[in-house]
Amino acid sequence: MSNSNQWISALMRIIGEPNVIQDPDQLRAYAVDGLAPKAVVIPGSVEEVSRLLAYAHLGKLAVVPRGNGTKMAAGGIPGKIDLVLSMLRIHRITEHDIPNLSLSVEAGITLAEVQKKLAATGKGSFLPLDPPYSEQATIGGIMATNSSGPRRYLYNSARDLLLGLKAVNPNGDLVAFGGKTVKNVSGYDMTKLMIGSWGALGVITEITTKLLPLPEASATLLASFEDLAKAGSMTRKILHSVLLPSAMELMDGKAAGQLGEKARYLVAFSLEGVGEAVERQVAEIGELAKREGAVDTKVLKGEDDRNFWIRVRDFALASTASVILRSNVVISKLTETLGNYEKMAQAAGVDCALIGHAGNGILTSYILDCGAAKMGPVVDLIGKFTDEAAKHEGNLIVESSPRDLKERVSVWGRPRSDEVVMRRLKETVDPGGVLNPGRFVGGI
Amino acid sequence: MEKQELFGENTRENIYHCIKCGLCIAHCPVYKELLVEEATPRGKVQLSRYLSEGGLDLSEDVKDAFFSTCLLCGSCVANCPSGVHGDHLFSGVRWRAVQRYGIDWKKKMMFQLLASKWKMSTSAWFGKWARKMFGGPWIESKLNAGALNVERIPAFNEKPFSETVPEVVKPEGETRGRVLYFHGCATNYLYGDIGQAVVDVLKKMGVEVIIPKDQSCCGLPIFMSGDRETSLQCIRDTLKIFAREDVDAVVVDCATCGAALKNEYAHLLKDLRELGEQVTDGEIKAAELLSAKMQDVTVFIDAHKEWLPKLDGNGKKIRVTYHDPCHLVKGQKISAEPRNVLKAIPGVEYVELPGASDCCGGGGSFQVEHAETSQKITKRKVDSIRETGAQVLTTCCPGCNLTISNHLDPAIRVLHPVQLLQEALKR
Amino acid sequence: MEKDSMIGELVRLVGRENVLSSDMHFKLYEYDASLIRSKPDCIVLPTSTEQVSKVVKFAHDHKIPVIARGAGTNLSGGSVTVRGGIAIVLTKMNRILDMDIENLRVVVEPGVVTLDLKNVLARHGYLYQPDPASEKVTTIGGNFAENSGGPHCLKYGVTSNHVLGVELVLYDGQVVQVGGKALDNPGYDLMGVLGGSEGTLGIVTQAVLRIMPKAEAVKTMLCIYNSIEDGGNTVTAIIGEGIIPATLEMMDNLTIKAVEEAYHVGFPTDAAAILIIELDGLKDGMERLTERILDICRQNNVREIRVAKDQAERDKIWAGRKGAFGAVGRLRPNYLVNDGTVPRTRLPETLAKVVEIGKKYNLPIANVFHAGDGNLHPLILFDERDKDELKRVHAAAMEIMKICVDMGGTISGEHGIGVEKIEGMSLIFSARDIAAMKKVKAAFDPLNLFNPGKLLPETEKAA
Repeated sequence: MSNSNQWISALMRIIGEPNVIQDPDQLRAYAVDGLAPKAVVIPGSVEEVSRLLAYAHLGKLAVVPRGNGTKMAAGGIPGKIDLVLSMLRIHRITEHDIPNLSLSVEAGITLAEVQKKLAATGKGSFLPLDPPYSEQATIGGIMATNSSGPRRYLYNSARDLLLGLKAVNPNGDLVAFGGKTVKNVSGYDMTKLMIGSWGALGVITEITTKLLPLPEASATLLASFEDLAKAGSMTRKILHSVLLPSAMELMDGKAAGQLGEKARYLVAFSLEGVGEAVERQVAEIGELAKREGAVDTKVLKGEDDRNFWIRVRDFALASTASVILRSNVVISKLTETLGNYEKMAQAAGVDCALIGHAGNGILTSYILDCGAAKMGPVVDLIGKFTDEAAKHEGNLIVESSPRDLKERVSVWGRPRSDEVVMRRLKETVDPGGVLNPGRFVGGI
Repeated sequence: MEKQELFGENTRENIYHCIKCGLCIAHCPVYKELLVEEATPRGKVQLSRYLSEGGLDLSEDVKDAFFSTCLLCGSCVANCPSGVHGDHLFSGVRWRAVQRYGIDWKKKMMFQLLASKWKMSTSAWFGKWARKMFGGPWIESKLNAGALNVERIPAFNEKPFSETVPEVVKPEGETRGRVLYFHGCATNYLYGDIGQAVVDVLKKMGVEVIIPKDQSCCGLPIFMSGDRETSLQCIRDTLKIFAREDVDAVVVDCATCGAALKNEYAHLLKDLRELGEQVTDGEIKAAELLSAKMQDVTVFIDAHKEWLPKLDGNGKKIRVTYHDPCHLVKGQKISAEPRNVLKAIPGVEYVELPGASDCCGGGGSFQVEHAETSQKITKRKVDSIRETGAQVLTTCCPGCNLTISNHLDPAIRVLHPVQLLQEALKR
Repeated sequence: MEKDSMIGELVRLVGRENVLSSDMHFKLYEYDASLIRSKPDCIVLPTSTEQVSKVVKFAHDHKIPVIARGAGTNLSGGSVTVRGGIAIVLTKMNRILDMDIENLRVVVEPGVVTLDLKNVLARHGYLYQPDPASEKVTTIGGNFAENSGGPHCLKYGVTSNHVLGVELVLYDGQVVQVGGKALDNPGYDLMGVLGGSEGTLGIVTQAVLRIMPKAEAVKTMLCIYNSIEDGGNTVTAIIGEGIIPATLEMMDNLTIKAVEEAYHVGFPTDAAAILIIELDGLKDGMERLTERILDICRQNNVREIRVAKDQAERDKIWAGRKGAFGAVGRLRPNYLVNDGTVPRTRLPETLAKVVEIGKKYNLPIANVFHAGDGNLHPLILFDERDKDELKRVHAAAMEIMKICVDMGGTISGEHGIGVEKIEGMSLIFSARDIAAMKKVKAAFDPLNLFNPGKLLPETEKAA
């Protein structure tokens, strides 16, 4: 490793001394899996990001991009970290084309900030994404991690919303892809490639996304069940019906309890759209729930409606979960998987809350206590959970965990055959291993 | 390779209006089975272009492509948004191919027979005799003519249909109309019942039916096989007899004959004239007159349905469906009238056949010479007929009749719509 | 490698009946729906993934270019073997492998014709949303390679939003699975970059598609205008009101005339423009939404509104729209179709400029466009036998692309770059952008065997 003082001075020249953090106490706060960087740089412009990365590329420095750090506990243990690159000062809304329903924003702004501005402008619009920690998570981070929430059931996820993207490549090149148009097949769809690339292929500096008009009305319907199979049968019927809820979540009693709802199993529907359609769906889904054997149904409107989904979305913040797992399975097996996970966790004596996107086959497991004593059982449990997901054509990712767990499990789940291409991609795009080395799938 | 004029100028212009959009491919029954470019109409139009411009030699490969991967069903023409007449191009290529490579002697003989009425009735008599003497269910069940099971090909009429009716059939009461009846070879030699049904129905409608005894083949099967010279004889003979002002219509019971008379004669004469053949203005005018007068018999009946006597049911209901012959629905754009006729018959429970206008796969001699492809196409048709649960399959083309009945469950009757009408009128 | 030995080897790999190597066949496979022609050295029609893999491995070992091909209706030259090589035609791989309705997925071979699939799904009450106008002849593989759109992509997205996984043959013959029936598999979004990659990264031998239940209600309206501008303003106003219909399609007078002549669907031939608006979803509130839309139309001087009463009327309207491209062949023998896309709000301006370009180069231009997503299709009409006209056509096309870029848009919305638009890439991408894309290409296909000469310019020109 070259003389760190040398390169830190070079960085100060690029972005100005006040924007470089060197103090070891402060640096600890930016550690990833216990590894502190040697410096944190906070550039104020995209130009500066470009020059920083160009420098890092030449100097073979390892860089970890960062927004507000809400997802820093994810990923493999880094090989090395020289720099943490904070994008927080790059946070402008660069264009809001109201009649075109498109928005361009820089990476460092939080999603909540964006939504506030959108709601207050013109007839009111929104970016139909509700990932966890929307108050803290930055756009760049959300896109880099392909983070999404319950409303992906109706609105899909980032790859279906983004129209364009600007980034800085690991060698410092400024690149721009896509644009403002809803359709664009010019060249490769690099925008999609960057989404969910976990900062390993480039640093996202700006995105352009489509927006939707704010829905006219909204409501939430909750149905509680004693019997998981009945809850699952209900979600299956909705999935294959003409109804269009914006979210359909299935959760176990532990999760429901944490949300203030008493239920052995809870199914939660978010309904959004024109007034008539919302009313009709509230009524129809409510009736269906009763026919399917729900022990209780409840309708939430207004503030209650909004707050419920904020609590679902930000479940991890309120809970004591230190290990968060994310399994993906084929849609029809979500209920069965949730049931099996419950049984396995109980058998292992691990306290675990489960929330699933019943219409998408994504199940998040919140392991509520993972002290040193529980490490062994948790490791085993993760193995069992992964086997179960694999039975249903899926996999399991450790979204968040302490370092010692990461040393004992593969945080990115089972390897898949296309890893060979991902490896080649990383090698071609980032031959110097500048960005997030060692933290991605297969240790890439 | 000497560049031969394959097409008249008008026909050749079609080539340049093909924008290769490929929409024709969706409608080609042969492509559906073979999945290669030469089986697409687009491919053959492009081949026509290369042949015409000298970029490709008319090799055996090319000849085979034009004969074995095309039924000349006209589906592509009917669905080409640009209006390209692929069929005109393809038959032009067949013509030059046949000139270069000759035509199978059996086919050539067959065409000579068809073109001459005298020869044809003699050989029909002979064929009937031979089948009686040497045929029989056991032998025939072992024989096939390409895709056709010989035992299920209908027997020749005892006598040719034209010998069983007077030249002029007058109605009983007042004469409301007057038509010439072009019965074609199939009715004349195989489907005498259909001919009888046409005459019976029209007579009961008060129509005078003239059935010229010296009529012959419409020439289209000969023409489509590339033997334009022989077909020209049939065309001229037909024009002499049928291009008349003094009738209300010239009715046909065969979709292919109808397409020939309606669309092909005038086009072919003009095309040949552009290529140097001696064709007079009078002949072209006659072709245009005949085209204007020609009507499929179901169109005529539907247009004058008020002339039909009251039809009574016999209390029984039969489920009937209808197959659109390619040369009627695509070549002449007729699909409503046959259905109207069927729906007007009491006791008929009409069900629509899914894919009614999909080709039956027969294509005249195609099913004999290219059995494998033909059978695949026919199978689809037979399967969808079966699924309707119909007891009767009707169609306005003896060619389709022959093909479909050859492969369909024998319990399902295959009839021309006028035959059902005839039955209802008898009640 | 010698052609004869190559052909011999390919016969060994896929069987005599699946290899085409006559002069006639080279000519038959030299074109697609663009103006570009170039013969392949051999054509194979594999019937299994294994055969595709073997052929690709063979090509890799001998450094022979390969191109995957479906129905060959590509509009930008993407299916033409500009460097020769082996055309791998996938039409015989046309089976639906797995109708997994429970999981809202269907797995197909790439040669399945899109409309055939949709018809099968319709019998079960389900839909595969992408509906390119060519759907009755194009294949799923082709749609994925070009990332085809269609009228319904305004609301539902394009092909890459509905293909969730593929079985992919890599440049060395290796077969890998990317994505799958379950969402969010870990790793880079390779599916994302494969969609619309125009056959330059790999060959798809199976695709996992997303399906959904049919909508409860559909309302189709045909709105007739005396000026294109009014139609364009209606589109902007509808979206501005917060209504996102399923489709918003427009056609100009020249196109209307051609369509009427070809199909007789009842479009008025004296209208300056027609707008096809379709709403779908729950029936509740649909009447009110329809009224709002009709109000907006009236506020924008609509001349006449026709609401389709039943499926037959709806089908007629769409038949007219979907046959539009081919129909203009009646006006002049050939067309070159532009595919520029601009932000929706700038559509009327862009169209006015397109009209000017037509006048400047003395070429008739018929316009069809996906008004809702700003994707225009100016059809420049000409006769390719007139070499001078052909030159003017290419110049006009380039100018139209430039205008779209100036308006904040892009050069291709759905037909792909292929060969035809490579020159235009420097209008929207910098040298660095192109370099970044080349790295992706290099990662997938280091030997540049897959569809060489397409999509990426050979030498980098700065914007």
